[in-house]
This record gives sequence, structure tokens and C-alpha cells, in this order.
Amino acid sequence: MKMVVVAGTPGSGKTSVLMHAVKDLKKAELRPALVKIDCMWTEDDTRFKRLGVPVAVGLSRDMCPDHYAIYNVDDMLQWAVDQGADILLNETAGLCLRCAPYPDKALAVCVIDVTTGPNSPLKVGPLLTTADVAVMTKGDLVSQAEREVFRERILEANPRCRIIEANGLSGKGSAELAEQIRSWPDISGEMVLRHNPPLAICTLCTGELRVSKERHQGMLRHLDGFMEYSGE
Amino acid sequence: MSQMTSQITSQITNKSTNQAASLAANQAVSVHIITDHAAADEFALPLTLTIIGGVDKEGNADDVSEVEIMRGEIIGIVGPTGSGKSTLIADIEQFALGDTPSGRKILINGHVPENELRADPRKKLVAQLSQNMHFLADMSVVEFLKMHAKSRGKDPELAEKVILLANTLTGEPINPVHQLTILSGGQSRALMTADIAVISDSPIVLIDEIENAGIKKQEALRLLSGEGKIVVVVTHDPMLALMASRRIVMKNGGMTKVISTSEQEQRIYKDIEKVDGWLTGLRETIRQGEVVA
Repeated sequence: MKMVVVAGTPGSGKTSVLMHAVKDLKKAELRPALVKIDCMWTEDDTRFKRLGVPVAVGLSRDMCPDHYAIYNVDDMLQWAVDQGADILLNETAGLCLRCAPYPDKALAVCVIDVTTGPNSPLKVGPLLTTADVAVMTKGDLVSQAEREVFRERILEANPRCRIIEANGLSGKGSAELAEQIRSWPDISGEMVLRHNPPLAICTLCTGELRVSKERHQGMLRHLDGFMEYSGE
Repeated sequence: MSQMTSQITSQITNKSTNQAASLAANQAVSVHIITDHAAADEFALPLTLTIIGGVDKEGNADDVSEVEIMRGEIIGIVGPTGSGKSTLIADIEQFALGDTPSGRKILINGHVPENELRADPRKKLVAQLSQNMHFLADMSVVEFLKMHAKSRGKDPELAEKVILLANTLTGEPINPVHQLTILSGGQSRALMTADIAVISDSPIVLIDEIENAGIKKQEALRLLSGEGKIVVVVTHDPMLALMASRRIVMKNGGMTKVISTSEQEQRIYKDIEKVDGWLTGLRETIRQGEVVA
């Protein structure tokens, strides 16, 4: 079984890119199964179902969507086995830029939208810096020079990644992504995350609604950069 | 038609003298740049670009099964809006391998190009001026150009040269420290053009509808084409279309035929060139807030 985790900011084109890649994987006689993780709501499963592959949806609701995805990896893999699949494709919700839901033995794919400007590769953090493949989308909306500058910025953030210029509408780049997936080794043994998650849990996680500073506990960082631990 | 145009041009001879002077001033920069192209060409290999036909929007095979383009040729792509001109340009830009919706394939020197040639800007054979008229990058002009030079493996100091050259193509000069996003459509296009001439200096140049750019189109085309390059121009403009030695005709997403520019068309081109010079002069006069004499 191969595992692929596709992450990226909302609206970057994860679903569109993945849909084209699924078609290419099927052409290569592979059997992908797809799990779409979202927070509150998604209708991407109906788009994926039209491709004739097994699709499952996981809504994280009150749990952190990345933690939810990681926590459920074993179940997702078992589900994919039950579906007779040989590749598990996991599309994440793609919200918090602090952590990256990539297990070390999965192919980590970060989808990033060129129209967000050449500073965005520096803002995306571990989602990009620990990825194996960076998929640049919406390149048709900017000049060639701007695409090339964006590419340079991705390489500054992650010099080891392979960059694929893709177009979610036309399907450009999907064959290359499918080839990366096809040639990626199967998962084996225990997997660990590629990047450490944020420090501990915070009072917002436990349901605190009051804004005032004295209501908050845990690892706290002030505007001036001072960090402290407040609590028992 | 050609009689009519020669009447017009005889009336405007006086005007064109002024214009020649301003063109000569612009050429001071462009001649310098073309010298750079010539130097680069000494090390370049022979080059052919082959388009292997695919399918139109309905999935029917292209009527034109193969087009081979040689070094030094300017070739046009013509056809109504929505006929697939920009799609064909995109196929060439990404060296399609039958992996785009058109199913076309692009060969370089008769072979499928290596993946590195498709992706790495330092090895890229293609420079493209697309229809995009605006920058989205939140950077200053000079910072952006330096970054672009770096991405192409070139000297960042070329940025200054790009701005100097862009300012010969546009009306209001571009300030190097301004943000890219505040440039006008014409300024952006002038900067993109100069950037291609100086930084993205590549043996294959793709140009999408430069006539809509609000810049001096002939000047721009001359800067972009250089010596011994393959130039592919998408155009609705009769002058640019007839400047090409051949033109690919697009319809419903497919390549329907290739027309070679006839001798009659070449004669007409000379007439259009004069009319265009006259119109350019008038446009400049009006832009400068003067009265047309």
C-alpha cells in the first residue's frame, strides 16, 4: 500500500489537481482510494465519486483537522485495504499552517497557488518545507516571469522538493504527479510525523471563550516574543 | 486596397520624419540588446520545433498533422476568439507530450525534450509573453527583476537594464522602487517584454496578442525576436500576421491549415507598415496632448 497526503491552503486547487491525477492513476491500472478530510462540510466526495473510485469523507468537527487526520491514519489504511485499493490518497482540510500532517513514509504533496504572491512560500511553513512535491497551481493567471520567481521562492523554502506546475482546469501537470505517486515506495513499519506539532494544548482548545488575558493558560507567547508557561 | 493605402502614405511623408527620429532614439537601447542575442547564439545548437497534431475541442484529429518550425522563423497563429490559439501556445510552452487536453506533442530537434528542459528555468528554451496584463506579486519592480534573474541563473544587475529598456516601450516611465502591483497595463506589458528580451533570453519566444498591450508593438516584436530565434506570435493584427513567413489557422480548438505568406501579401505588408507608422504617429500626437495637423 502506498500513501499520499495532499495538503495546501483552502482554494489552492487540491481537489482539482487530485481529480486529474486519479484519472491518470486509473489509466496506469492502479487502484487509488480517496479520503477527504474537512472541518465542517464538503461536497468534494460527490466530485470524486464520479471518477469511479472508492471515496470516504471524514469531518473533524470539534477536533483539530490535522490531528484528526493523523489519529485516523490506521483506520484509513484499513479502509483502503478493504476497498481493494493499492494507494491511499488523503486530501487534508488544509487550514493551520503551523503543523504538517505528513507521516514520514507517505508521499507529501503541498499544493500552492501562484496568485497568492511570491511571499506565500515563506509563509506556508512546514506544509511546504517538509513536502516531497510542491504543486504550483493557477500559473496561467500570471506572467512567465512571475511563475519563475514563485518557483525560486519555493526552492528557497524547500530546496529538496520536486516542483510540478499544474493546472486544475486543464489537467496540466497531473501526469507528472501521477508518475511521482506511482514510483513512491510502499509504506512499512511504524510511521512518525515529519514535523513537530505546536506546543501542548491551549485554553481555546478546552472551550474558553473569554478574550481577557488572565483567562488564558498553557504555553503563551506575547506580541513582543516573550514566552511563558502559565498554569499548574 | 493597396492603391488607397499608398495615397494615404504619400500624404503623411512629412510626419514620418519626426517619427523616425524618435524611433532612432529608442533603437540606441534595442541595438545593444540584440548584440547580446548574437553573442549567445554563437554557442547555440541548430534548433527545430515540431508540433505533432492532436485533437480539436470535439476530439476530431487536427487537419494539420505536423508543423516543423526552423530557427530564424516567425510563425503566426490566427483564428477567431476561442478557437484555441492560446491553448496551442500553452502546448508549446510546456512542451506537451500528449498529456494536455489537445493531445498534441512538441518535439525539439525531432526528439521528445528531457524533463529538465520542461521545468528548470535555468535550462528553459522558451520565453513567453502571455496575455496577462498585470502582476500579482507584492514586491518592488527592482526586487522582482533581481529575483527573476536569479531564477534564470543570470546576473541580478540586469534588472536595471530591463527597466531602462521597458521605459523605451511605454509612455510614463516605470520607477524601480514602485510596487509591481501599481503599474498600469501598458507599463506591466512593457516590463514583461523587456524582461523577456534581457533576462529570459531564450531561443524560442512565444507572444500572445502583443497588439492589445498598449505599447509599441513593432519595437516590442523586434526586441523579442532577436537573431536566429523561433518566434511564435498569436495575433489578430494584419501587420504582425503578414510579418510572419507562415501562419497556422485555428478553428474550434484544432489546427485547420498552414498558410505561407504570399508575395502579394508581402507587398500588402509594406503598405500596412506605412499606414501603421502614420497611425502610431497620430496616436503619439494625441497622447502628448498636441493637435493633429
